Amino acid sequence: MEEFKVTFQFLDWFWTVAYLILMIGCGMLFYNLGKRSESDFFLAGRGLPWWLPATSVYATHTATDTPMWIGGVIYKQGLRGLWYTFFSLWCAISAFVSTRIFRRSLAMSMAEWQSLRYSGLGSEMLRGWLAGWQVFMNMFVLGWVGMAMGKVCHLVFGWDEWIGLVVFSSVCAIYVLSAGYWGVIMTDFQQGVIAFLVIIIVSVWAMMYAGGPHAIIDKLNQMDQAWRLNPFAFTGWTSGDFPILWFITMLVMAAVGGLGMGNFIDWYPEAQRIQSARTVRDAAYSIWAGGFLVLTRNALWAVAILAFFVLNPNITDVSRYEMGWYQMAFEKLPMGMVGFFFAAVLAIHFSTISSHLNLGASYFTRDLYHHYINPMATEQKLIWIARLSTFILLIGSFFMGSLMKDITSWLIFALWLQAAGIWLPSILQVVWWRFNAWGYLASWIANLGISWLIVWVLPAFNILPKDMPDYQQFWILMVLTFPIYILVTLFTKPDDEAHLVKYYVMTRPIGWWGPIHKKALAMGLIKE
Amino acid sequence: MAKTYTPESAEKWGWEELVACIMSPVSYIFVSLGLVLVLLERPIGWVYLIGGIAATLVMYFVIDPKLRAVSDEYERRQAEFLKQVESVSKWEERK
Repeated sequence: MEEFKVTFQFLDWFWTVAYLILMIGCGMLFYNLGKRSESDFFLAGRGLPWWLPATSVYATHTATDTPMWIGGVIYKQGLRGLWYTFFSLWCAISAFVSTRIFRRSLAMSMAEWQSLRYSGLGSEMLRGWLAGWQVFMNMFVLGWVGMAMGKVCHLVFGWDEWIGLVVFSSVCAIYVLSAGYWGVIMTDFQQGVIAFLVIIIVSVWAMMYAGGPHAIIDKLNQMDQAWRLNPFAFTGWTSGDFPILWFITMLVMAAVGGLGMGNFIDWYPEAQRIQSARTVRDAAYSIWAGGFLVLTRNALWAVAILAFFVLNPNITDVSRYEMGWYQMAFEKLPMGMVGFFFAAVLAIHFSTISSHLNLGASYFTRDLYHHYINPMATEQKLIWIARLSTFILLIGSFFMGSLMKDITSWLIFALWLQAAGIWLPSILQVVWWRFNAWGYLASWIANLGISWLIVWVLPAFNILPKDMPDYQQFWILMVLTFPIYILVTLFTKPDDEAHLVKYYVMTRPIGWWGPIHKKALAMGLIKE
Repeated sequence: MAKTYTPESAEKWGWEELVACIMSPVSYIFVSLGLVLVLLERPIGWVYLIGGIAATLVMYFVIDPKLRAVSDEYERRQAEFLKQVESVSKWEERK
């Protein structure tokens, strides 16, 4: 990959150092609030107005690798590439359905929700599994995003990649260790504002550098690339880079997925933000506005990448065109603004790192230590366990970062698998009273086995095509796993009725809850 | 659009949620596509953008009164529910 030509002047260093002091200082300011209780360290006392978790949703999902990913799809696909980013559509439905139900459950984490929704051994197995999985996943995300920062620092300063990973994740950990979620949420707000401002500046600057909107359109026409301006430039029902069936699958999966809980990896950080909102209404608006900001940001990035494309139209190396947004900013912004841009890159980086450090620690502290090891732990002890687990996650992320090249394909497979086969069960557990813990566990296990068959084993024996598109794999997985978890659910006992009634009265879920509703009515716990 | 909800009627899922769940994705998609096309000075972008803003307003005015009612009703019982969650976490419920 070509190196950027970046020169840092005094003003650039000033912006960078000033920003670091501001963030660490701001995080440290909330030290006293963060240490009050487990609820403060992980949920800021459950008292935040909607706009704080909303900016945190947006800031957390704006990571150092996000402009690389979005830059890659827009450079390759033009504006139709925006649809790849529309998986955030689940927030649009979730805000008014699953967010409301989850906020009412008051579960501190998605793993804890399993204990409230299900009963008996199955619920504990699910809680333990999800907690362990989330500690690992957060460590992985920290390593992944940290390595992306390492790459940026390598391109800008020529440092070895591990330096960017270790230095900036460690700086960020200072305020997470001190103030927990209070530090995360307060800095996320500032980071979100700074990042959004810079995304606007870079997009407008890039567009002007390419000659303005008309020049971009003229150049695309001259290059016979005008289709890049059409978000609906389909390539057929099933053929080409942008088939209609992929589009429909994506829209259905994203929008209907909003009825469920845990069907997307993004649900887990969102769940924490939902519970930190002060009311059900604040929780709903925080998720809605967070998703809205994410998509608005993507639109701004898309303009910058189109400008990059008309200036550099023949790049075939993915790793080069993925860096298009960074290149436009580092090379084209005027002296002094480069440091401001780098400060914004740090903001983007810190917001993601801090959220995942705190989130991973919450699963370890609340769901593994507090629930299984020491249920009677004092608040003071829990805060120290929270800090210890934050530190372990930080160290673990360095280890993950060093392994990233070896494990990435496996982990992407695991993430994809979660989106495919767990999608429907994650909705069923919200909308159907009879779906039980054993059914949900069965769906995870069935999904794992059948994913292996569909993705690797059957193509190896030429039973399925080797290049089967992912949306077709998605539907096959859905169909094949469905009878397994449905049969397991129907052949095992329903969850304890008294437990379900408590959950129902507390959350008032949507869907098929008739027998539980009647029981709650008969017990006088709700009115018709 | 102003409507008064009783505690019971606020708890029920109804047409307000349905409207919000339709308008909300429309808002996301139209504003996002509208913004990028307006920045590129494509006239159709204004149609998307205005449509998206209209969908957002419809969504807000339909769902907000109900969300307020749901929140108010729920908050009255939140402290009691929170104790219940803690008791599950500390295994007290099963003693």
